[in-house]
Amino acid sequence: MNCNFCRHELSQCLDGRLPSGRRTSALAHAESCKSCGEFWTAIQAAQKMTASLRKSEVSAEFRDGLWERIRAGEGTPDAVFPAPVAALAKVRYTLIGAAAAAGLLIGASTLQNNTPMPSSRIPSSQSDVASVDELSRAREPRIDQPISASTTRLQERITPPTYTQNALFSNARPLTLQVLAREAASQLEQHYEEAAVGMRMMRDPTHNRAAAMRQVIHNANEVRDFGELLIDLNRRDRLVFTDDQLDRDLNFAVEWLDRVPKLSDHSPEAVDTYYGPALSKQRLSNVTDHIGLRLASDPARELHELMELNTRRPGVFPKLFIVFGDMSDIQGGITNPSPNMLFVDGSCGPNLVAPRSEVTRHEAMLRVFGDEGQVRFQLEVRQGR
Amino acid sequence: MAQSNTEYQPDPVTMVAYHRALAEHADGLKAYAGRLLGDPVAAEDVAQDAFLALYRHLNQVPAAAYRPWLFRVARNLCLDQLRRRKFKMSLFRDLEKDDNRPFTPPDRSNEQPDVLAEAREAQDAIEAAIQELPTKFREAFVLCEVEGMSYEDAAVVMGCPVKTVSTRLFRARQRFTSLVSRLIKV
Repeated sequence: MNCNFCRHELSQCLDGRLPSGRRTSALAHAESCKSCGEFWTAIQAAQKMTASLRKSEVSAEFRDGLWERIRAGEGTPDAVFPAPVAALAKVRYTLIGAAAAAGLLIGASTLQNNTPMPSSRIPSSQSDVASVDELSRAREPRIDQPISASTTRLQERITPPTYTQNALFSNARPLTLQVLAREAASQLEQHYEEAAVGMRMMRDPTHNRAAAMRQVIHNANEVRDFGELLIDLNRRDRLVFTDDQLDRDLNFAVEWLDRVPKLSDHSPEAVDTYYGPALSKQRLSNVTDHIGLRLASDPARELHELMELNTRRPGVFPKLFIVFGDMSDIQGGITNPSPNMLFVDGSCGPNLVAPRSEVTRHEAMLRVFGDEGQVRFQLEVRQGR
Repeated sequence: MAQSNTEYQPDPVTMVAYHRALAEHADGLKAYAGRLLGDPVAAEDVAQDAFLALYRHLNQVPAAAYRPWLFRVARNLCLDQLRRRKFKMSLFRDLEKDDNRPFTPPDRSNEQPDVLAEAREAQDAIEAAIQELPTKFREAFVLCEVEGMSYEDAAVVMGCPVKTVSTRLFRARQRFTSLVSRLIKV
């Protein structure tokens, strides 16, 4: 085996891309050839070294900056899709290329015939040199729109799937604003309770205060996010508070938590000062029993509002629902569909989701079985209340 | 003028996939751009631009293709920046009346061993070796070896056949191993 060829094979072998037969012969050569053996050892060591490289991390402001630009309606930067070479320029390059090739052919045949070059050819030859330069520029890889193949795949997915004929999806209920509101209320209660427990632990010297403070801050922020969502739904007239005091308490807590600065001093006193007043509103521990939900009159309007809410609060939906994917992800995989499953009819077809509070509160089982390379799910989501 | 596709509102499920991509690929994207540009601040801007572009095209890109799509976009942005830098360099050269000097990145090979020997930072040596690779080889090396991307995805990002990725990666490994052994032994 040629050493250079063997090293190329070894490089692919390192990435697990060689069939067993070629791998065996490449490794056999590496054992018998000292320089190839050294190369094999070196590339393995190099791979380990690169794995130990420091991981570059985006700054803390990265996400905030991104969402700010998205909300501001900033468009795609121009350089993402550079303008393709104009048709006229292509024609010009082609003609120049043809002229250059013709010139080279004439030149080669002239040299081959060993005949003196006519003086009239000299200017043409000089222009050919410039043309080759132009040609090489024309041959530079054009950077066009990324992944043209993805468009084809998208087209396939855009075709509305006949999911009503699929037992998994026909048994599931559509996700509505009502379900969203109920889930948000349920999670708000859970996080309020967690934050309140954290407050108590923070004041108790026998507990780990740092962990307790983290628990308070994290859960208070979740209370704020879900509270904002409920208030938004209330303003859209999709949700009413049957308890006026709860309405006032929730508005106060959200407004208060929204003004909490990023704490540089993580002392229990500071956390107590900044989060305590909002978390003292005990009505927040029982929101679901004091909200009324209005049914949507128009399903299209319902979906539009759902998407609008999601765009305004992009981080909230993943906190509310676990997404199991579309039919291509889970077709035939879920062996025990739960009656509490929901689906969202997105632009790419229906996706199966489950309310997160029910899954976490009632220890839904998600068993993953290996089945000859395919993943199969057995899913059970128990009804929360 | 920036292209605009700002009216599209992604559905919740697409947003979940977008958030996942943000969590999984933002760091890698910044690292990739950083190694192409050699400038961590500009690299973060490139990563943010790429995610902004993805958000505006969520209705056109399947979730499974987010990663190569993002890296492809980041590559376009980096090449654009490098072209601009090259243009600026040529302007300065015009001012200096030094038109014949070709644009090449500064050669640090002579000063690096001393610095590295003093600092004893193998990480810097590896990064320096990556930076010394020719751009095409470096790109294949960073995508496949550092970011762990498949040859197929790297081919999409680089806009070349899979076989070319394999060859460039092989050449990059040859150079990298010689560079690293030289730098680390010093």
